[in-house]
Amino acid sequence: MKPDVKEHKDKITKESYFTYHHKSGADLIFSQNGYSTSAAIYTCKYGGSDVSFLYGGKRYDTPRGIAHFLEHKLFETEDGGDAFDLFSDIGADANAFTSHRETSFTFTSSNDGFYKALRILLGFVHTPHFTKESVEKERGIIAEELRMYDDSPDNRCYYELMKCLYKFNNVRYDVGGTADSIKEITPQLLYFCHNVFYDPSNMALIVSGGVDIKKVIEIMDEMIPQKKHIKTDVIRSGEPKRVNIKISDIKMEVSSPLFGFGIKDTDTEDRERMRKKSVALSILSNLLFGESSAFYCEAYENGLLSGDVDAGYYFSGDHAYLSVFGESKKPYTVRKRIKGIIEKTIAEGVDKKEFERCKRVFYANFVYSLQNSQSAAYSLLSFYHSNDDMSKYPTLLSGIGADFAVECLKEIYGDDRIGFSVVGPVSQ
Amino acid sequence: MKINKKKIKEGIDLTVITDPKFKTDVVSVSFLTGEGTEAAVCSSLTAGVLSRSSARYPSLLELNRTLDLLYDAQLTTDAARRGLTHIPVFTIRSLNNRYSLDKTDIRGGCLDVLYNIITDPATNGDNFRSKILNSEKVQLTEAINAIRNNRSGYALRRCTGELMKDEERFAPRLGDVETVAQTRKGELNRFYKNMMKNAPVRIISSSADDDGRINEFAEKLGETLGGRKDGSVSEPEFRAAQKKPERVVEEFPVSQDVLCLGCTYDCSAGDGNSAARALFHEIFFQNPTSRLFVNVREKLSLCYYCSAAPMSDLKKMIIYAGVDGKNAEKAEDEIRKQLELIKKGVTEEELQRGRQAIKNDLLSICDSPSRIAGWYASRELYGSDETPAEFEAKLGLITPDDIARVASSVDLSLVYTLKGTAENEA
Repeated sequence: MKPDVKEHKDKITKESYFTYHHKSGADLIFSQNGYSTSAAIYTCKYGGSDVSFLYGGKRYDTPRGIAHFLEHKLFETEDGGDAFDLFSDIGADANAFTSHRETSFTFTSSNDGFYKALRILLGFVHTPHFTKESVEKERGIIAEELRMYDDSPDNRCYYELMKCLYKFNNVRYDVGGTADSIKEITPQLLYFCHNVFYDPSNMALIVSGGVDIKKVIEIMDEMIPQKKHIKTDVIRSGEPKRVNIKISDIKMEVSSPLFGFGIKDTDTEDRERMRKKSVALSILSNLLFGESSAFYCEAYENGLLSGDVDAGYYFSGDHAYLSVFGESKKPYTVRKRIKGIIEKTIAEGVDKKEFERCKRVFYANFVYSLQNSQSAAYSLLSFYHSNDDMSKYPTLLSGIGADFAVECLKEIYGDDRIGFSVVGPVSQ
Repeated sequence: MKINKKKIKEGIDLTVITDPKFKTDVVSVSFLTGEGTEAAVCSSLTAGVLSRSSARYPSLLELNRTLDLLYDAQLTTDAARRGLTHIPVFTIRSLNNRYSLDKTDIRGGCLDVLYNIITDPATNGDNFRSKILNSEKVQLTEAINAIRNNRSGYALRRCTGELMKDEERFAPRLGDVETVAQTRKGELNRFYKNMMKNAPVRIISSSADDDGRINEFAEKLGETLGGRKDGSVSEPEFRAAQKKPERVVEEFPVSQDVLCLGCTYDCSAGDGNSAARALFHEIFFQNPTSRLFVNVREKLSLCYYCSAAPMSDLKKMIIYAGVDGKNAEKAEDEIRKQLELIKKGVTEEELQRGRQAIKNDLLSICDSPSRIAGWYASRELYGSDETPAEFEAKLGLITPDDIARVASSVDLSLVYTLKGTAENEA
């Protein structure tokens, strides 16, 4: 029987991809191209923030860092071996990562080796094997990973900003948990959380490359277990509109201060509007603070900023914020300047021609993201987790206007919604 | 994939790579300049000054907005170093013209910007503008100091410095802050003029098609620059390791130690052993089934990362890991044990896996315009035009004995520890 595959084609770039809902409940998102390598990502809607949940009507509170711990441990195979060895036999390059809302397992391989690698991927993700000894060993490795991130000024600056913005949301905590929280993780807890969240109906397979979709579906039939779905609801706390803390200023061994400026946006319920708002505010933050902005170019030339800036608007399910990260000897001057530019923009609007220039940048970045199998798979993953249709992005982008973007900025802006984090040198 | 090579003039070479599957175009121009700290600083400053303005684009704002209109064309300048030679590299990456929505000639515009920023800088008469130079000196100083923010990167830099301290011609890639402070516009101007007149030039392009314009660009650049004596990268002499490794400890207010085992590596980029070395690296540290990953991380749980930075162009290798201070000695012992074990040979299974991993990576390289341009760029610096397919064929001929031989050219010379002195807050 011909699988019920839906094609999504973008009229502007002529690029297309396909979706298919597998009988196990898992989604398949697939794009075909002429590259010599293919990439797959098997993703689960379970991340570092999902520590408290209702399962079969009962509440469970689990230790922070357990989703990330599970990501590490799933590579252990039933015979006590390692899935990396299996990938390695066919030269596939495998990896995994955990964010606040998702855990993903990925590989790239030659087109020839793809099907074998896909069997390995789907096999180990659905076949957990944990022992007391192996969990204990992993605790040591993860503790070192946490220390490494704790020593990273960029990482600290980001989490300090999250702590400024959010009072209850778990995004203010490190995805990996803490040295103390990971001590509470046991094999039993890992099995339990795997059973709850690694339900195919909570997962999606993303494939990009020169491979055959029918064969991919056959392998899904073979490798993904049929499971009785039990209702699971992650418990998410509401957030006040105002920030938790206005300013966090910590000291570390850094050459010059790092800063993170953020505006908290709690108005995220209307999903259709959020699709447009996300794009509009991403363009606008790039226009106002990106590397072609008057703000950045002047501050760079005058030495107020050094290196690059990272400006954008981020939306992930239950939280959204506009942020500008960078490095400056005078972070508080930068803060004042950013606020001034936003207030001026709200009062006076922006040049429509300049806004169109920035839209062109976003269109180009969209095409750049499709330039190889791996990058295209990551792009599909990002759209999947945003519940968005990638093929509609270029059309959506072309329809966004400058006035709408300014209106969105006005909506989210307020003095009590601004958080600011600084990681300054110990000597200052 | 097609590769065309052409000598534009003596000392100026062009390589054109085309493959219809590419969605983006990449063009880079590299100048092989000099050695030592002054060359490093001038190379960095030249790359910085030229990439932020030109006579036609007098400010960063005008230049960046022009690039935006070319569908976010990415102009990057890199102060690279291969061996002892400092190499300013100017690269422009853009969408292929078929993605232009309004008939903007992206490729033509990008080649024009690249030519313009290299050949027609913003000057006051004969010199770079003081304001631009001084601002770029501040940025370069910040960039050099900012290496401290990346703990393992800083440890590797410090360890490399210690390993190379007896090599007078060696300088860190960006130079040092003292020399940046001392550099005057006259010196930079002389460096730039000398670079334009005498430095060997390599131009590389990769794109979906060749409409002849990259050739026109190279010919035009060749006419402006003129012919020059050709040359290649200079490498340091090999210096054998000391019998007893030197120990350097630097305290740093972080919670995790970075342990670096600095080694001598008796090799040369053009010695014909590159395939054996690639396999050695793959098996020793490069992937999650490598000896270091499996033994130091997985079996002993001593670290999250344990890897190595091979610097065959400097004849050194640094093996490094982030470890809890109380485990540093144990980690050092295990790394040294693994280094000695691999000198005794590898298994056929490891060799086969290594070959597969590299073959997979070669396919990825051929899928990417930037990576394939990088492949040819790095080889041409040493006068080689080896293709990925030729390299793959060589992999099949490598034996476990070949791996043992290249592994045996690595000897421990220095143990550098970035010693964490902060409380663990994780």
